[in-house]
Amino acid sequence: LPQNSTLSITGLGILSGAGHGVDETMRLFAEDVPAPILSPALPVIALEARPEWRDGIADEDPLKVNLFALTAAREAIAQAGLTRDDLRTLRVGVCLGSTVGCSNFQPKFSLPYNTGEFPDPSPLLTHFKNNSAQWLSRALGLRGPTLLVSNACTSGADAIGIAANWLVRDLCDVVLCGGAEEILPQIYYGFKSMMLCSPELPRPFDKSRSGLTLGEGAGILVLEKTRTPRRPLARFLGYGARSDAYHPTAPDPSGHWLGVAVQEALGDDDISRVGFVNAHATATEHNDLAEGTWLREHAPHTTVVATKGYTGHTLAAAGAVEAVLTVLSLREGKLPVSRGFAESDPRIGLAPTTQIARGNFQTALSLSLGFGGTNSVLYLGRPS
Amino acid sequence: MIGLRGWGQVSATGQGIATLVEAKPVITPRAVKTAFGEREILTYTCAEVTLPASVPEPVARRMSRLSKMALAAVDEAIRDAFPSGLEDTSRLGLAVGTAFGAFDLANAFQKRIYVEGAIGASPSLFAASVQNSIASQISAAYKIHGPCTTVMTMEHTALNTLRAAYDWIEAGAVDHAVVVIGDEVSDYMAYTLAHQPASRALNPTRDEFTMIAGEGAVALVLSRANPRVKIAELAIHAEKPPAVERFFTAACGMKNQHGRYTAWLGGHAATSHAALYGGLITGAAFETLLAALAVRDDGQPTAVVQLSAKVSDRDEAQFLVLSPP
Repeated sequence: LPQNSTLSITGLGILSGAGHGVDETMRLFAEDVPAPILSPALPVIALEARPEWRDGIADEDPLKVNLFALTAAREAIAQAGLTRDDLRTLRVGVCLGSTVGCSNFQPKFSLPYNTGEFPDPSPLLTHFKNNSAQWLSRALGLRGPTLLVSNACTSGADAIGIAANWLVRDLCDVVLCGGAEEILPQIYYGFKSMMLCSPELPRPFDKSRSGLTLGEGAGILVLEKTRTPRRPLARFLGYGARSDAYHPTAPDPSGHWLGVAVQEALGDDDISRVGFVNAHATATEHNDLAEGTWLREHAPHTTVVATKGYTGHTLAAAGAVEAVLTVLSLREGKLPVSRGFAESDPRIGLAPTTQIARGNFQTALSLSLGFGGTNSVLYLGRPS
Repeated sequence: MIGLRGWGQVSATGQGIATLVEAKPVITPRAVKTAFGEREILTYTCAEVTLPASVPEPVARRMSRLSKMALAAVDEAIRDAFPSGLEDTSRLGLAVGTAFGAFDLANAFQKRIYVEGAIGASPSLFAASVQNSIASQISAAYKIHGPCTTVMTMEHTALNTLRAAYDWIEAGAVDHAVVVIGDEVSDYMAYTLAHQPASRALNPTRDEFTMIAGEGAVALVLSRANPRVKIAELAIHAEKPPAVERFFTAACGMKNQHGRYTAWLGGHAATSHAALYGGLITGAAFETLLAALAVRDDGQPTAVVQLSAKVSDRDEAQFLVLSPP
């Protein structure tokens, strides 16, 4: 998998409970960040799609998840300075992670179908044109490969890793990569049935953590080879992915394969020299125990930040949303407070940031762990 | 050089490569309730598969039909590629491709919520309906510790999945990768097809709607070591066809499909074997397997071509070229 490759991140786009867009998200680096608001219908950090997000698209009934991807992509494209000509003439790939963006869980068809009615199947047929990666490529009129990866909670990180591979193998010139997620009620009920949901905002790594809080959002990065004239915001340094092969929904408690993925992303570098780690930190019992214990044992002196207290767990978008937050932290030389954390769990013995942390961070790791035992790690750095 | 070292399959012809070569698919009628009364459609139907004895019965019970087909295909491919058994599974990757995933099981999870409310949500159905549950079950069964990924990009699923696995080997992240690609004929799909123009004898080279849905899974083992067929080219975004003389396509009898393939190939014959395995959006996986068997037997380089579904005015093309090692 790509390591120490000469790839640059030249644009960022983000939508999450932490803010609509990069500018609004920058408030994380201030002391008085407002708490995200849970939806009145379900304890989820939901986002309302704004009417202007539909501007310029032909699809009359776009999925919300696709509007998230498009809005974040437009922001990333603008920041990278990619012109319409660039988008037309370059081979621009799209590589996204999503769950809802490749499923047909939309209630418009499935509710009547499952309650004894015989609905018009056309909403099901639209599934063919709604795959988020393909939809985004068509909406932007791009010419390049498209791929959607659905690896549960590591999807966003994996999409970025696959995109890096495309560039290294010269399959395209630029990639819009990342993830987008919408939280449908049945997804919430699924997590709730597994007793993984918190009724309130999450408390990652905290002694009294009570589970995850689902969130909607998207994170998109413009990734390209460093030789392009565009100004790099950050360097893509490596990607590692390994599987626990342990349990369908719980991580290997030893964190062994997470560690192998970390080292694969680092290549010859040492974790002790990494500026900070943006942890997956879902605030579930099993994730935080496995990930936190591994971090305490293998990176005891490395600063750890947990950001799901602002964004919620955006599932397949999480790795991408957190990659964007990692790049912003590298650029600012600041880490946000790990919202929700107050008291360390003695079984973990890890304390993420409790105040704005400042430092001359040169590199960072962003970790993702997912259902099915996937472990995916991105290694990012400041521009040289 | 990276190539295909082993293969396996489950389809309407049966379980195992030998049944595909024998070429006697089972096509069965299926009654579907619609707003216009009960309608009968034809589908290529896979019989219940035999899973390896190493899969515990309680685990098998929780698996989707698609998972079972995929696992059976993977088991055959692994035994074919590694007759002495798997050794270092930390250097083995797994890439799963599916256009729709385990649709019936995912719908069973949803239906209980719609009918019973939140209390109907089943944790076991939810876990098994997560899209990467197939990868999870296969990786656990064979202790595959390399990267495990699930690709879902509709008609571009098959070659994208192969490309992801190919790149892992190219990058040195793994020595071998198991790729399994497939789909099932779900109740949703049958309901949708029952509202389409009547199916007739499948003819993938006719530009009328003759699609009869198929299901199944193809497993391929990619490796640098001892490949039987070489992957000469693997383009997931192609502007023009490769320079070979034989083309297998994923045309499956959808309207205007065959004409689009022949046009893109500049008049070359666009062969499709969908009549063998049925209309599958991931049909390029079956065409890849059939191309591998053909190249192994006659040594003639063969391309597998996949065009995009007709949802826009663009023809997004992909191709894979297989040749002798």
